[in-house]
Amino acid sequence: MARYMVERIFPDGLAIPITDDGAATCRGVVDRNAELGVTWVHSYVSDDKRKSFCIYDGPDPESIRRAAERNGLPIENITRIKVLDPYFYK
Amino acid sequence: MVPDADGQGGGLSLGMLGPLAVERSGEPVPLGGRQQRAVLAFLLIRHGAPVGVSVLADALWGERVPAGSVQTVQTYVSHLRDALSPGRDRWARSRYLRTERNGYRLVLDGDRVDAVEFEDGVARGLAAVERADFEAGKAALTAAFGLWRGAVLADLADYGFVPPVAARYAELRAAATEALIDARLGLGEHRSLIPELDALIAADPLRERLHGQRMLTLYRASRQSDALAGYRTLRALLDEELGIEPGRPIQQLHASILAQDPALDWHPPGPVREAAASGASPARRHLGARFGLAGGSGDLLERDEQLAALKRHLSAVTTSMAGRFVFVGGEAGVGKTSLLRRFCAKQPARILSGACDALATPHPLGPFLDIAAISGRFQDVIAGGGQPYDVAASLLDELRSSRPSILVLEDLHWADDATLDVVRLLARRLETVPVLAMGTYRDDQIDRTHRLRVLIGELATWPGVVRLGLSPLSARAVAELAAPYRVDAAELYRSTGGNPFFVSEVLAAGGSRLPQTVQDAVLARVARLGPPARRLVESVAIVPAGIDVGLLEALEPAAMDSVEECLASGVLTSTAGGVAFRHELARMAVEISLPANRRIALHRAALAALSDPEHGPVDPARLSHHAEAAADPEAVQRFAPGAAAIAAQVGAHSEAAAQYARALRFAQDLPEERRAELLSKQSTECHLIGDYRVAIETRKAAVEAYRHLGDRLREGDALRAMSANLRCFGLVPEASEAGRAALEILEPLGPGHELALAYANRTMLALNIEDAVATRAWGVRTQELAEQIGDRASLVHAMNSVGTLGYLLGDDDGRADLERSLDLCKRWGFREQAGRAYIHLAWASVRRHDYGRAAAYCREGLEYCVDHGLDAWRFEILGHQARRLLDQGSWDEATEATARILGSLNMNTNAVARVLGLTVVALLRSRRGDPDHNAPMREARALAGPTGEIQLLLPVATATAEVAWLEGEPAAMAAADSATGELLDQATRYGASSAISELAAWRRRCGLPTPAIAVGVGPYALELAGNPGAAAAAWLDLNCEYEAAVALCAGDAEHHREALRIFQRLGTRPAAAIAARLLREGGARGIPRGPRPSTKGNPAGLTTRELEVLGLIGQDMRNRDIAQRLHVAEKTVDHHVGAILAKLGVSSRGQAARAAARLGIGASR
Repeated sequence: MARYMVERIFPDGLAIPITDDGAATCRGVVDRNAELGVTWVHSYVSDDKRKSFCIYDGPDPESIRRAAERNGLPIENITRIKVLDPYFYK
Repeated sequence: MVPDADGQGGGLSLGMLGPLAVERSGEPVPLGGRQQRAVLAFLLIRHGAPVGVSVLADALWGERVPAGSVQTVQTYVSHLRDALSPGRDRWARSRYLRTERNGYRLVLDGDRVDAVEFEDGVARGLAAVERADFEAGKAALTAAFGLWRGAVLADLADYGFVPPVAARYAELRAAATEALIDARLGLGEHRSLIPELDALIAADPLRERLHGQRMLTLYRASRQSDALAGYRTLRALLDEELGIEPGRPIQQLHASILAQDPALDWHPPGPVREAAASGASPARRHLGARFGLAGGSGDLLERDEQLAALKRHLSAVTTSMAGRFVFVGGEAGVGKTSLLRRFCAKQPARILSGACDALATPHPLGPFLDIAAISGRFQDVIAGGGQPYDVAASLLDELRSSRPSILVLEDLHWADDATLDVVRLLARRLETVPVLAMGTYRDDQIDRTHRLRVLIGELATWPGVVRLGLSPLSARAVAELAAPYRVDAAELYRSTGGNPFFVSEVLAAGGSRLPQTVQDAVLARVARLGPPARRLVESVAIVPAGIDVGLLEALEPAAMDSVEECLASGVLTSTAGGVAFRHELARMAVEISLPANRRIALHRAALAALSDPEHGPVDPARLSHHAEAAADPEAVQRFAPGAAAIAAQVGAHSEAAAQYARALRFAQDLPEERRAELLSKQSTECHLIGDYRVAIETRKAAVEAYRHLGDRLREGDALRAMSANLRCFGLVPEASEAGRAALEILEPLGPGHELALAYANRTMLALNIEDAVATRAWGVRTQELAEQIGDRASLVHAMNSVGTLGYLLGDDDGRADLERSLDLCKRWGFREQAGRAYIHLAWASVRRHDYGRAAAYCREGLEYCVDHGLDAWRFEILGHQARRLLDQGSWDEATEATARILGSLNMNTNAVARVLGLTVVALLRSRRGDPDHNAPMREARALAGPTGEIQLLLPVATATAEVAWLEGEPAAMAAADSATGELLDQATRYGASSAISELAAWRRRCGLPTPAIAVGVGPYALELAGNPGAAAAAWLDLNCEYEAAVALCAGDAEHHREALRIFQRLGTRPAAAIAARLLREGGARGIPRGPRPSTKGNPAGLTTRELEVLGLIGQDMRNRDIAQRLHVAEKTVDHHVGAILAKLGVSSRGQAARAAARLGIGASR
């Protein structure tokens, strides 16, 4: 399983309210991803909510793209990433 | 007796959890130099025990004990005595450091040692956590940790005796840490725990339990994805560091998190826990012990209805203050206990829970013993040997309160008479007490005369008594559970019958194996049957799909009376014509448990009964199964080859291969000729299903056997067949060698069918490397011989090869020949040759950019191969299909096709299919700017390299060039140079014109030197002729937008602008960057950034047409009206509507309109 950072651009801003609807939206994304073996780990969202950096685990970039398509999410760029933890250097 | 010099004991405080420290009344005691402190430390570790001087000396100096060491030790001890008892009488006996024979002993009495206190505190804390007293546990453990001042004997760590002691306390400390986390989890402190756990894991990354606790903590803090990520991190870590998988508890926790098991949720500790703990059977404790959860981790899919029913009953009890009794029935392992647990976990009511035991003689009033502790009075009644009436009355008294209670009685099918009497009395007084009583029972284990069944029947009409049935999981639910594992969900459903216990056990055991737990559970159940019933069950176990009554009678005439008992016990179930095990797993468990002699005897009897024609039509497949299990070689030879032939005839080639393999396992006594024949047939079947390894191996054995027999004709023919086996596996040089060897043997034997096929094989080998001259020459020889001897097989074979060559070279007659060979193959029944014709049609049409025909060939070919079980052929066509889709811009579909090729488990050996799939994947990633294109390219290169076949080398070479063009890296460019250069030489040598222009075009695009070549026709030729505009137009005619834009990159600024526009629309960032750079270099300004791919789509990925239709649906238009408005057929609109519903994930037009409004798409935009 590889880890990817998916950059997304939302011209109109991304709004997932912290309500039951928002939770349902997120769960919907998670469920649809699961069918493809893709896991949405978490995301960072820019202050203006127009850009997000989403960390995903998945078998390959195609699965990431398919998951995005099923969820109606845009993709700007996909990068394969690994963790660099400054506190693990000794 | 000499009095102690310092009378007052208990004044010292000794510390080793940190640098060695001794205090007296809070004042530090000076201990002297390191050696001296080491003496005290050593004695402290062994305090209370005598320590010899020589042992002390060893501890201090190791192997280099100096002379005079005894005196030195004496001096240290003397100084220590002074330090520990200041102002003591030198001649009095020391209170602390006693002299023993040959040594010393540190005596502590009422003094404090931090290590001892730590151990006590940890023991108390662990015990408290164990009994779920989390407050006390936390207090004791926190206090214990407070004793630590640093690393154990930190100032003396370089003495050899310190590390083992330090390790022991570190281990204890780690266990205590985990227990403290458990306690804090139990107290609901999950939110504050995360940073601590992170730090602990950072310090000790391989400690699995910490990872598990962190996962649970994150999950409870609503960070499910982090919890799952934690699992993956651990898994990767263990794999990397130790090469192992996470332990089973962690795996189960992972599965529970995925399933959002409510048992993971935090519940305030309370009476529930106490009652449940006392009543828990070992099995349930085992389940509950996973991570100290309140409940087991059984899954609760498809139980919403039952939970809702229970909720309704409880609220009815609450409002009416009258009780209800719910009997929850279902087969063993169906999840009755899990259901009740899940239900109870969410209820604020008082919960009393007890269970019956599976003892031959059940304990009287068993479940009520479990709940006796609720009150002293009730306990007295039970302990005093109360009669059922007293017990029921006392229990009713206890339940008569203002708040409703929940009473859980588990496994009532095992209940003793007294318990059932209490249940009966309770049920009849229900209306007087606010209780929701729930009793679970296995409805497949109580026959009509079972006491419980009688009781339930009797109470059935009583008000407030209801039954609730639980059925096994559906195939869908099983698939959902299996999703995170690499398990065949359909097979899992079949073997478990949807029984949740079996499903979860199989998944926990890692998939296909028969888990020990299941085996134990099944055998325990069979063991409770009477001896005749057991015999019967064993007989049934040897017949996989279930046994019909006739066979059963033949096998066990004496045991037929026990059928009823087996059915009642739930071990067997009745089927249309007989009986069968309820679960395939259960059957396997019983079959495996049979002693070998009994198993063989049963299979022999079955074999005899089934081969008796009076029993019905003889089924060789079934008989060969029993023949093998009966270890009867003669019978295997009688039935297995016949079964294989039947399977092959209907296109079930895997089964055919398996039957031949079975026959070969028993072929020791066969004549060699017969064995060679079986080997050849098995090889053919294996080739058809793409199992080339075995195909080659068995064919080799056949060649050997024929050579040994001196049968030259068959030896040569087998070599010819092996040539094809080798070639499909990608071993082209070996294939050519075998093909030549076949000819060497066959040619001297004169004209014949085998020789003609050997010529046809040479034709095919020449075609595969696209050697035009050789292909034609061998083709002519084949056709001449075939016509001479009237051999159809070799004739169509050669016609196919020569026709393919012509089609590849752009010759329409070639295509016609190829199509004609396809027709003849179909007419004459050469299925494999027909499949090969489809492969070649797909190959040549894609190469010639003849995409319209390619689509039809691929579609028809895939259908034909599916219909005739030609798996290997199918995947090769799929490879060409993937390439066609890529070229035609259907990238998502191309992705699907490659996923099918590369994801197929049993089709990973066909070189053509795999190379095509890999190159298409690499190109898709590279064009989109996605990562990970190197790995598939590397694999494709490795596979294609040794084959020398242009059809494999060309896609690899051009993909290498395209990647280099997109990246512009010097290393990639060098790879592209050598790949395209060498192949261009080969293509030129063989006259493979279609490959020549493509390779030359890519070399020019990459700025690599391009030799002067004869320019042919087609878009590549136009581009090479210096006419990129015309090339692009040709590409656009072929519906290849991407290729058109690439061609335009060789043009002027206007071309570049157009290329940029296309690349931007396609979302191919790297290529767009190239076009933009070309524009800039040409001095252009105001380069359009273009619409981002992210904004061109819409949330559901609907096409423009679908958006249009959706808009009209939103205006409540019917399909017929929409069709009129859009000037299309109504059927087309039906199709669009179907696609829209699927994409939006809704089931009606109304929902679609609402979804459109919510997503802001459709008419509003």
